[in-house]
Amino acid sequence: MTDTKRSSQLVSAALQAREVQLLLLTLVVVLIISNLTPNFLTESNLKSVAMGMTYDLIVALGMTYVLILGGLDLSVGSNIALTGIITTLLMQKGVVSVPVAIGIGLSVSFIIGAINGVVIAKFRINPFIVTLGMMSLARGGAMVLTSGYFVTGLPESFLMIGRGEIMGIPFPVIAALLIVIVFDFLLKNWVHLNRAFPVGADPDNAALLGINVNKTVVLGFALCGLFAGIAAIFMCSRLAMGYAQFGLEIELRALGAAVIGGATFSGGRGSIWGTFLGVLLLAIINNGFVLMDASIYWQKVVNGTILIIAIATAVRHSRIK
Amino acid sequence: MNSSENHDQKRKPILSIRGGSKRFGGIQALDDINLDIYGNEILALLGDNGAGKSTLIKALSGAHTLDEGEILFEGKKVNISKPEDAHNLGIKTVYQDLALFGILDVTTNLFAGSEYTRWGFLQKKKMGKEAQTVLSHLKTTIKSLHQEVRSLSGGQQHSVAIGRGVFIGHEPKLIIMDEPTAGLGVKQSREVLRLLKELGQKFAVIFITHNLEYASEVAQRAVVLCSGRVAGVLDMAEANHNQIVSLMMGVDQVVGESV
Repeated sequence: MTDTKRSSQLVSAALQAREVQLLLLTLVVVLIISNLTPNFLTESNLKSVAMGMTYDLIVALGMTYVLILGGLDLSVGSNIALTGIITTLLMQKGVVSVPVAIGIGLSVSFIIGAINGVVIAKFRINPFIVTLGMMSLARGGAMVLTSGYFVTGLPESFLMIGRGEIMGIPFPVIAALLIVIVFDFLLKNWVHLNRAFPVGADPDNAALLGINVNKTVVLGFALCGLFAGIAAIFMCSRLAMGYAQFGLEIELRALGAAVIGGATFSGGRGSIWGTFLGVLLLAIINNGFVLMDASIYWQKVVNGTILIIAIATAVRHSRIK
Repeated sequence: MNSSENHDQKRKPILSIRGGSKRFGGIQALDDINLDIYGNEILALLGDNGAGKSTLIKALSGAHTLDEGEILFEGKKVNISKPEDAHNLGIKTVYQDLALFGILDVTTNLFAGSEYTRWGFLQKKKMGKEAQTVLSHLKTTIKSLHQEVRSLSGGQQHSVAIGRGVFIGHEPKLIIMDEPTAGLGVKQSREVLRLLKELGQKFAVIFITHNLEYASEVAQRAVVLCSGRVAGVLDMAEANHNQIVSLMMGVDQVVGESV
């Protein structure tokens, strides 16, 4: 008797969890799409869904973190473009070896994020404004460096990063999953990352308790930049080029996924697995559109609608409570 | 602690402010403040709204810095320019607005900024145990430590704030309680006063309040502020309400025991 009572309590508690609700919603969507088109549940299609969501997923992790901090980062897409251009140009010209080029590229992405963080924390300027400026600045930089041309002719060893597979699973997919697992663990357990929650929930209170708010914010934005850089490396490698238009609108998809996953614009909330499910859900819906031959323009309309609904419900949810 | 140690601590102030002044634009919020706080005593800080109580405790807790004057802690001159400095000295403040994180859970609220860690990793079990101990010491029962703090009752939220301010992290030496009974019912206020008395046996406590009855019940001495100045320092055993009120209003320069 008590056992059934306890298990029913557990079930109802589980159903309250954002992640469980999202998982169920995703399953429903999968059921609908696989009924509408037989091509959905095929190995090659699932592989392309997995590969397609990898970049969004890595970027969305950083976005989730800055949302927890009470900020947001609109410059992640441009960061991808600039980081990718710098990395691929270095390799194309043979200036440095592949690992060094990647190291420099990742450092650039980290520094772009750190600059965002420093301006936001030190000068107390709204993250929206700062990262909007950086979005334009970094994209412009990528254009200037290439005059809009592709950067191709990259070393084979670099291309292997994006194209390699382990047991039929593309290497970037495995890497992204590992990053999710490690980052989720660190966010929950490592004090330096975990302090994003009090800082985002109320920075003034956090400062009164002796937490170094500025340091937490700068590191958070730098980390978000670094995640964009990692996505850039995979993207350039997989597509065998650097291009100044890479990462367009990825910030919107990352924001949407993070908010669907439970992050809010008021800070202090966010879940890595929630974001993972948010990215998965968006990827599956988009894939459904592709399989059903819907136009890419309709995909944008639907993506935008989902984003607005997700944000509206998140804002409403936080007001009610 | 034996009585001679006790006696020594009584003689030497744990914290002194000498010539403390603070201006905000054209307003002199604190003007040449001199005061001493001793170990094992409860010092009531009294004054009308705008008298400078908040500015004074913010200077001690590191939220503001004084423009002039010095702070001596355990006989040594100290510089409290940020909250961390106050924490490290053992000056702990429970703020009137409680300064809780409404959307975060009880344990996070208790330990934010003073987490137990090993190699930078949170020791969640240890913190959970400690949280239970602290809350039961405060005679508070909270269903789950994973509850969001904003879902707790006012009294429970007070307990979390006091628990964090007093029992978590660095061993306290001076505890500052800013209006700890504000917004509480009679029963809960009694509970807070009981706790205050208990703390006053072990630590130096500054008790900021509007309620003169509460002040005379628990405090040994009171400092009355008026327009940013110390209007008087009173021995609570001898002071009467009229005297305190006239000092608070600044209508009479009745002098109590001077420091």
